[in-house]
Amino acid sequence: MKMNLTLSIVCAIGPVFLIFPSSALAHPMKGVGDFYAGMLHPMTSVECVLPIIALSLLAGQQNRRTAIAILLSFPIASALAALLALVLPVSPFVAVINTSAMAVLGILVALNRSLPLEISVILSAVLGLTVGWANGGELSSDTSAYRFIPGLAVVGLLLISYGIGLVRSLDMPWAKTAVRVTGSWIAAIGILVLSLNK
Amino acid sequence: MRRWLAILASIAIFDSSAFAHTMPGQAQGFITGFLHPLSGLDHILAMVAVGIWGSQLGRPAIWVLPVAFPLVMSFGGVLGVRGVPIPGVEIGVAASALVLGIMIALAARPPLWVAALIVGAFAIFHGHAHGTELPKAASPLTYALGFVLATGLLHVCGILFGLINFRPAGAKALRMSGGLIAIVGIVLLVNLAHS
Repeated sequence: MKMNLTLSIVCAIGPVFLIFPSSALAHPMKGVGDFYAGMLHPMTSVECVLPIIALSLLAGQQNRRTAIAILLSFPIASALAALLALVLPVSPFVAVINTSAMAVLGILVALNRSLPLEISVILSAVLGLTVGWANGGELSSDTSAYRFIPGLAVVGLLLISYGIGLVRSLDMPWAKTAVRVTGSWIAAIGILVLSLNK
Repeated sequence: MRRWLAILASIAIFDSSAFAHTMPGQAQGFITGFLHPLSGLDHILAMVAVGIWGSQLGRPAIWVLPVAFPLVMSFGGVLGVRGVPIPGVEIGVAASALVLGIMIALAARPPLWVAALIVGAFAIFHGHAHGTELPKAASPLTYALGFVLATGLLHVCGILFGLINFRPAGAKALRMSGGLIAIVGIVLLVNLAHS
């Protein structure tokens, strides 16, 4: 019940944040623009969006405790890694890990199995770290890290919560299969792109 | 209510990303990838046939085949990307329309593992054909996204068409469509033999 209430609040607030970024970009406002830049940045990279979608669907397939652990660990890890990126240059392995995450998380969604809490948190934190590092590393000198990074964390929180809300609200068997098929598609994309790495 | 909010949120997400970047390379990669399975009649017929046959077979094949197909196809794609030759890829792709068409026409109900093996074997041929184009794409990631999405949507078309199977007249129409797919498969094979 508590989980449903949290999700309802996040689902209600989320669209408000997400509907306005375009207009925010059209009329740049000092400070506010950097927060929305943080929210938009991972969304404009397929390499980041697809594994996050897979993680959010996986979280929706898990029990309440594991779902909450994923919901919290991902944004925290991404914020920490984005801070780390301020002092540490982004490794080229980040892209490989994000692509591998597509394959691994996609296969797990396709299998639709319950995962141990520890494994789920590790997967979520690793993806959070690489997404945070990749996005934080692209901060320009005129962008405020202290506004960009909260934006990055908030969009992670929202995307995972939408995935949980969506999967948990599905009653029809075909809709649950559609979630598994989506996982299978994401895994296939990840495997193919991974094969391009020498 | 929450379902509507989730749908609204999804629309809002994609609206924002569409305005944020124009991404010419990525968009080109996506369009090329999306159109690749739609550019050949052999690919279209085989993918739709997978969906129709899944519907005919019912549960669990109706969900096993669409979930397993992209994964097996990606294995074929990896072979294509890596340049591992598979003899007779084009023949395999054309033969997939013929074999799957015959299965639908006969309303064949083999054990699930046999059906998965038949579909899986053809998935490798189709994946190999798409995979060889992947390294040349403007954006390999969005190319892969496009062709996996198009392939999946063709399966969905087949599954939706296959839903008429629960009516006696629909089941007959479905078997006739399988016959037509098989005939086109023969024509494609004959064309390949002459080329």
